[in-house]
Amino acid sequence: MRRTEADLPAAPFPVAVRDEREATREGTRRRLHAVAFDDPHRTLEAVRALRAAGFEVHDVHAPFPIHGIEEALGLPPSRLGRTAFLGGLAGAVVAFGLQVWTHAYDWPLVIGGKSPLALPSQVPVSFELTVLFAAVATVVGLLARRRLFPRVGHRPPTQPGPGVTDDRFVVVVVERDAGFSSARFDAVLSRLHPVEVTEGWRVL
Amino acid sequence: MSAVPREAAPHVEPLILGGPGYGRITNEIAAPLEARPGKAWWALFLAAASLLGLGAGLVLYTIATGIGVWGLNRTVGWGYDITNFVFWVGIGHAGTLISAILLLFRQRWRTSIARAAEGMTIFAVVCAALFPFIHMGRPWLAFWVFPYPNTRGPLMVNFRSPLLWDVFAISTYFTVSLLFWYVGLIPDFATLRDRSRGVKQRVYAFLSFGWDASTRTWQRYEKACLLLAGLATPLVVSVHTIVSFDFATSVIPGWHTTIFPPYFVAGAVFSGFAMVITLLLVTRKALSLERLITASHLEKMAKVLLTTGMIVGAAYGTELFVAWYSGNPYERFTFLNRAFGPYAWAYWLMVSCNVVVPQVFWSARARRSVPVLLVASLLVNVGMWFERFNIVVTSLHRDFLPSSWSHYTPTLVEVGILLGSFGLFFTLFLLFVRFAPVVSFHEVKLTLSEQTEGAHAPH
Amino acid sequence: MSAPAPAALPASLETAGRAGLVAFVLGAAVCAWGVATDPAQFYRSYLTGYVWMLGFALGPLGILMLHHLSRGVWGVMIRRPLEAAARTLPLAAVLFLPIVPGMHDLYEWTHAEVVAKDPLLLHKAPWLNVPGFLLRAALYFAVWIGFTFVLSGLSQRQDRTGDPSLWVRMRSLSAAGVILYVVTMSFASMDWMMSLTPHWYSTIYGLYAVIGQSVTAMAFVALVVLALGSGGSPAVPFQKRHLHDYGKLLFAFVLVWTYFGVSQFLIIWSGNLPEETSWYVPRMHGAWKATSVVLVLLHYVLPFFLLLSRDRKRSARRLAPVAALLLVTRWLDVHWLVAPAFSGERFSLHVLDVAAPVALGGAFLWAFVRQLKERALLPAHDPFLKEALAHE
Repeated sequence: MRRTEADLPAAPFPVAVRDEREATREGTRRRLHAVAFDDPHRTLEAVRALRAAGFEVHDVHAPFPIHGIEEALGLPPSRLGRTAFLGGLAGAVVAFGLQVWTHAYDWPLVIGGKSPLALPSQVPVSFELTVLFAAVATVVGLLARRRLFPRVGHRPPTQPGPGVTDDRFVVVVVERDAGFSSARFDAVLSRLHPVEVTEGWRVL
Repeated sequence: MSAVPREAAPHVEPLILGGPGYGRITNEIAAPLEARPGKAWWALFLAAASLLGLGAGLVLYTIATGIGVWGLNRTVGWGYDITNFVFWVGIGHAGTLISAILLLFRQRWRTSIARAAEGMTIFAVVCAALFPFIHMGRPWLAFWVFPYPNTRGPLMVNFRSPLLWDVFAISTYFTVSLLFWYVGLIPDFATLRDRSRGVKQRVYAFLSFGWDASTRTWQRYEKACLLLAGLATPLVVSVHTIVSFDFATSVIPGWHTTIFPPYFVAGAVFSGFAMVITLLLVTRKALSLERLITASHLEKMAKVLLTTGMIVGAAYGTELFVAWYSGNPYERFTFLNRAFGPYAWAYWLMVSCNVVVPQVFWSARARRSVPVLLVASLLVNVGMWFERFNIVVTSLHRDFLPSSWSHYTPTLVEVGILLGSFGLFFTLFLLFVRFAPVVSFHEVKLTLSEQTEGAHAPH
Repeated sequence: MSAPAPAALPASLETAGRAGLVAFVLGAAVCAWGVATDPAQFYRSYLTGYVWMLGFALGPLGILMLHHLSRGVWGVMIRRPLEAAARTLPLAAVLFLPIVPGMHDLYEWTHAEVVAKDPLLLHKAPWLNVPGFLLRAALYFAVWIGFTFVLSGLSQRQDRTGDPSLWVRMRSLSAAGVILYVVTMSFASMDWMMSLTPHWYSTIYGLYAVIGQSVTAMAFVALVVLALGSGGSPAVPFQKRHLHDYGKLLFAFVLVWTYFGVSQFLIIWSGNLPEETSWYVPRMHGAWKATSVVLVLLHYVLPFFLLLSRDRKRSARRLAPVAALLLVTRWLDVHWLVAPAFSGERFSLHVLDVAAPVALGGAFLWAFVRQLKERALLPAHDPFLKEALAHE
């Protein structure tokens, strides 16, 4: 099942490490195994089996989100909801402040016989700005947290091969310590039926 | 219990046709982007671009000369311009609605059509925003609508005016729709990046923000999409509500009625869905996406059309009933004038297109028939345009004072600008289907995986 | 294939049913005293209590049809409670009868001498007259009860025959049913409540009443889910994702209720026409002003922030207090709609205002539990049940 060097496609981790100095500055250079599947269920099973067998699953790359994979990987829940809530709160405060300040304080205006501080007419703008701020906070939160920004170049170095945006599901296993047993790893893999296994190096 | 589990086969047809294989989906959706555009695309594009050119010329003429070149007069101060504005904002609603509400309710059929609908939203809002802009007469002073410290007093904008609420509503809606749309596109640009070479790859790499398909990213991505959907749903409702406030907070009979907010929202959904149907019928044919946008999708959209058509019909009925029930002579006159006055043809055109035509969708065969859907969806949009025309013009042209009664006839300039807005809309849409996947890669794959999961469910 | 056995209800629901009967008897006794001493007040309190109670029976019919129409998995698990609640509608029709002798006390337009002198009421007389009122009420109940029994009958047939295709018929019926429900309930609310101030009108009034019933229905569902889904071996195996859907629907209905209320207010407030503001004036002065504020706080602000939490929506135990709060504020909303029509700017709260809803709510609860017991708690042959029961 494990392929020979000649069969391997282009290196799965294309820009692994540029030189040794970089490696010592930012972390340790570690060996990674990219185990590819063609089906989300097998991927999920593989993650569970590998983790149960004591291997460290660094990440899973997939063309679409797999249900239940966060739990299988043991990832903590996202806190984006809180970000959005705080954004919305800020929007409401800004909207309210803006309207009260311009209409009732800086230049009090009586329009249509309503008091300068008439609250009902503030509902629409306050609502819109609440939603606007919450939405912007959500997107900025997502992009900042995952460092997503327009960049020049090709595929990001963290992505194991081009297939994971098409039809490949890749489980990345990291060799964290010397206790990593290739034989045991191969034994576990042989029960999981991956379509392809490749390896590479990356600084983690 | 009998031995045979009779409930084993629910009457559910698959949403994605053509068998398994995620790679196949990538190929099918990416194919039109990687091929050279066909003759049909060029023909449509040139037609749309010429209309756009015509519209742009007439807009420049209007701005250079003044809005006196339109048919407006002292009694009818809002005509084609505001009708078009409301019409396009309405079209812009189904996109976010399909995407957001159907996402929240986990309706899987949304995945194949959501992207096109979201794109449509953005282009329609661009068209809508154009009209108040040119109606200002001096559009180079458009920035005066924003509240900022200035040397005019500093006299701030009037937060009591629904027209200012509109500024906030439309710009918020545009921003949030754009965010929602672009966030959806990021993983798909990554797919295109990984399939292409050279300059194209670099462009898609730039657009895909360094997407690496990691689970950690997907986790937050899904959360962000749900949050945006949750925010966009009330937003859609609020935007058309505020558009309805432009009319309803005044005291003009025919405008000032409390049912306007939900009535406008239902109308917007109705016309927006009709436009989505029109666009998708053309797109699926032109890009050979019949296996992803199936008859089942069309049928579901036809049902939404039928339902919202009846809601709109119920609103017409309520308005008429209450106009009588109120005992207010001005209210009553306005509605009699709509139905039997000089613009009666527009009123009955509206009723037949919006209430009568959708009734054809009680028939399952009609819901799945492409020609019937195409004709009906076009007629619904004609009807919805005339609904706004009726609201704007017939409520104005016979004022409280009979001495100021008047008639409104659009000039060719106004008709040309309306055509130009269609040109703008279709030009943008045609460019969109050339440069971005019109169906979402990752969402269709997710739907396919759930579909196969359903087929192999444990017994 | 035999029909599934009727349900064994959890003890808490059986107790609730008996408590309902006791509440009905006690409340009815107080009401009887009220009829004898202050009939005018009794009819006002009874009308409020009745409109509030109708939400428990009719709201679920609307939700049931919405479920058939959208075919979401969420509705399969609560189909039986919804059907049982809707089947109490005949009882609701009977309980409408005490309003008939009270019409003269309740509705100004039944006074011939007043109508004769009032051109506006004279104009409305073809609609606002006693036979028309009664005929329309009969028609509304006929529509609601008719749809309930056809849908409930199909559901029973599905239990018996196991024919999964019956849901297609339920769906087609519901398509027409939802529209008819909204239209009839809108007119019913105009007849029964809006015509208390017969000069005043608002086109959104009916929709406001309809969405209020949806809030009542979903809040009630949340409580039923708590009763059915708790304990070591729950009567219905509700999962967190089901609850999440109910919580989301409740949240959405609360928002729509606010939306309709704010829309009506903002439009009338902006237009500032005396014939329209007359309705809001008593509600914005004196103790009614405080009531309006409390209503906004308890029917919108507090539930909004509480229901924002995902964890709360996914826990029956934590959702239940919000639901209970909303059921109480539903009554406050109806009281706010009805009572100022009589008391003007003076606040009014009578002991009968409590007794009437207690009696009516008790009667509903008793009838609901009886209906719920008649069938299995899950529609065993619903083609979507398997998907609903599957684990996440």
